[in-house]
Amino acid sequence: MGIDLPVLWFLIIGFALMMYVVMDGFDLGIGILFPFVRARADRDSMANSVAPVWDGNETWLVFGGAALLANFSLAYAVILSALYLPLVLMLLGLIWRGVAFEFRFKADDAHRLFWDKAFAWGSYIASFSQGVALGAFINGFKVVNGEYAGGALDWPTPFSVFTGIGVLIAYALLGSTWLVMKTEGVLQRRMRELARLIAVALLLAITIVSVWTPLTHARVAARWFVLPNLVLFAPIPILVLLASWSMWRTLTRNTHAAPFLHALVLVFLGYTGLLVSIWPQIVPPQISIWQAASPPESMGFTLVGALFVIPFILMYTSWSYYVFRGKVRAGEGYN
Amino acid sequence: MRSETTRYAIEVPYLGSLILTHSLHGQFPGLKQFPRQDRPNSAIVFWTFRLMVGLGFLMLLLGVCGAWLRWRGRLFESRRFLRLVTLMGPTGLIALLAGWITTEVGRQPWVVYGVMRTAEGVSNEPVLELSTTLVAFVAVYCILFGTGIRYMLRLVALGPEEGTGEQRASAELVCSRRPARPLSAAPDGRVAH
Repeated sequence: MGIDLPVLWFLIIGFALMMYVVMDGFDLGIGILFPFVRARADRDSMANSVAPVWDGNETWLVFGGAALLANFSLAYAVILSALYLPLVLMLLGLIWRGVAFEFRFKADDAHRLFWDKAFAWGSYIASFSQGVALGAFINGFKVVNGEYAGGALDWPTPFSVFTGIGVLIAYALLGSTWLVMKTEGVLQRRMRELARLIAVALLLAITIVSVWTPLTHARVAARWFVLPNLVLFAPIPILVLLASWSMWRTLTRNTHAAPFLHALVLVFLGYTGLLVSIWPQIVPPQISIWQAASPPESMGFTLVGALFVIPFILMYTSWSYYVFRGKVRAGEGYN
Repeated sequence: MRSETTRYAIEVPYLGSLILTHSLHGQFPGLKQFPRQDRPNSAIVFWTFRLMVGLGFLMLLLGVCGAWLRWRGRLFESRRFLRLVTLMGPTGLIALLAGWITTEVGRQPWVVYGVMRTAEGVSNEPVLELSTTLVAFVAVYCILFGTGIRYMLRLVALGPEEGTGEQRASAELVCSRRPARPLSAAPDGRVAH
């Protein structure tokens, strides 16, 4: 067989999840930043900057989930059972903020504040739950006979709570730099200041996770700190430092799109670091992508569909971003 | 259900065979040929299916009535018709739910037909966890749909925009927050330049 289907599908799912993290990341970030902006006109601008694109961003989460079910059903069954509570919390948060987002445009002034709060709370809960789920995933799951054998409350650990906070910070950085790109004037200046603080916090969080993970997870330490790997993967931490430094420079000058692009690079590097740590496990610590793979017939069949549909998603997504490029001005909805 | 008979049946020959096997004389197994433990709850499926189809026919009838009234030039005058249209408002959703229940109940007791029973597909999650989250979902949906319905009713009470052309354009400047579709994120197609 020419191509290794499990590897290919692992990469596709990894790509879909990264697209999700990047794209829903900045619009969840808008919600995270809501409490730091008081003026109603500014909040409207913030919401309007993502209104045309935000609900398309969740396509990637659905795609990743469905692809996981079809191609790694074992991993799907174990991970979703183990992370049932944080994932349900995430869904409730996403539903809550999505609806609040629409209602705040419709509500009268008396209720608007309530929906603003609901939007922020939903965003915090969804982002934090995603981070906690990520931490619990790195911690690994207890599996017996192909079924999740741990308890319903195995997921909250100090480590997973910290990754929850880390994801909140990462999304806040994506959101604030997105707004630096999409807004002007007072709001843009405010976001530039916030982004500087958040960037420092994120670098701190990345450092702590990078130390904490190998200290408590021997298999991760064994991946990074043996000789060929140490050199091979050295570019990742070095690039993180370079990107942070370069981002700081763009945030102290009058730039628009550059900080957001830097934030994307940082998220991409963090994500790559994660993949290096867990590869080739799909259910850490024991089950590899080959052990969890569906029969090649299923993988090949779904691959045809995926190769057909992914270019279309990418096309319409980039088209909508292209159409709504440029700055959002006060009082302007999308038309 | 217990006596395995259908009272008051209207029978259409050949049609079922045509839909399921694409030929006039094809045979497909009837419910009674399956062992009892492999059958779905036929009372539920019986009624939800008929509810769906009945509402579908009512919708068709409504369309025909509308076309007739339009032809007679009384489409917007007939109070009885307009009242009927209002009443028919929610039937799309009801028919959809009935159809969904028909397929989901109708495929029981299998989750993967012939391979895995629904009972075998259940995860090990504790009952407490599942019931808590179910209650949470129901509560959140009640709050959100309740509010959504309130906003929609308010839009309905506002009534459609009247007038055409210039009249309408100037009206839009005054009241530009009424959307062309309910619950859209931003006012549609109305950007004040």
